[in-house]
Amino acid sequence: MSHTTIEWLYVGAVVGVLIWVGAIAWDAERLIGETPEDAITIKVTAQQWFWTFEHPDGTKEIGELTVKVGKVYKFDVTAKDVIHAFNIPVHAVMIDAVPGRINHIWFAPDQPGEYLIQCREYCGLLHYQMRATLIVEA
Amino acid sequence: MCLFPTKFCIIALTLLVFSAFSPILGSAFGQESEVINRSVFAWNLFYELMTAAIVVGVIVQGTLIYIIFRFREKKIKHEEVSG
Ligand SMILES: [Cu+2]
Repeated sequence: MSHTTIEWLYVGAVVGVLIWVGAIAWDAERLIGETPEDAITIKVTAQQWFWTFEHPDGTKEIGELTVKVGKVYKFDVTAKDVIHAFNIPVHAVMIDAVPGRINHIWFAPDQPGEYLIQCREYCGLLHYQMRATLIVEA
Repeated sequence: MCLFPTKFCIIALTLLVFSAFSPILGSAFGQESEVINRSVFAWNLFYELMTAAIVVGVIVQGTLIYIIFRFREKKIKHEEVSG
């Protein structure tokens, strides 16, 4: 192989890898970013230092959130005082809770059980205790 | 310069791009599959990209090691160097 051939192969390989990574990122953004249409909306409100959840029928839960397996949930996340972050580690859910702003994120629980919900943005003295329980019913 | 490398690169790139986009095209034109598990999705992505990164790393490092070994200075002629 001549030097030119090797150089072109190298350029091709680098460009190819970049395009591939770009395509994967694009696809991931599309799949994760778009909320499925049949999602049930839950209003999530963060404040120092607890979580409030409101179901579509108006029922409110504090410190725990009850959902069902096989349904899709969309969270409308906001905060009352300072910036928090809504995080369900096991389900790879994480979004900032910002006062005066509603952020969206969705997830679909597929296993019954109890999972951790936590604040993931330092929000003051009791930030470390700002947890809630996600209860997934069968 | 012959056209071989350019042609080869164009073909290779086309194949790469198509292989990367085919799942996207499939889901865009086909039926939308069942709802994804975010966690599984994220970890799959992580392993996939880690595999790619390691493959690239192995090729680059392997090439370097090969070149260094292949063209190592077996017999240094000090006279020539010092002139
Ligand atoms: Cu916090």
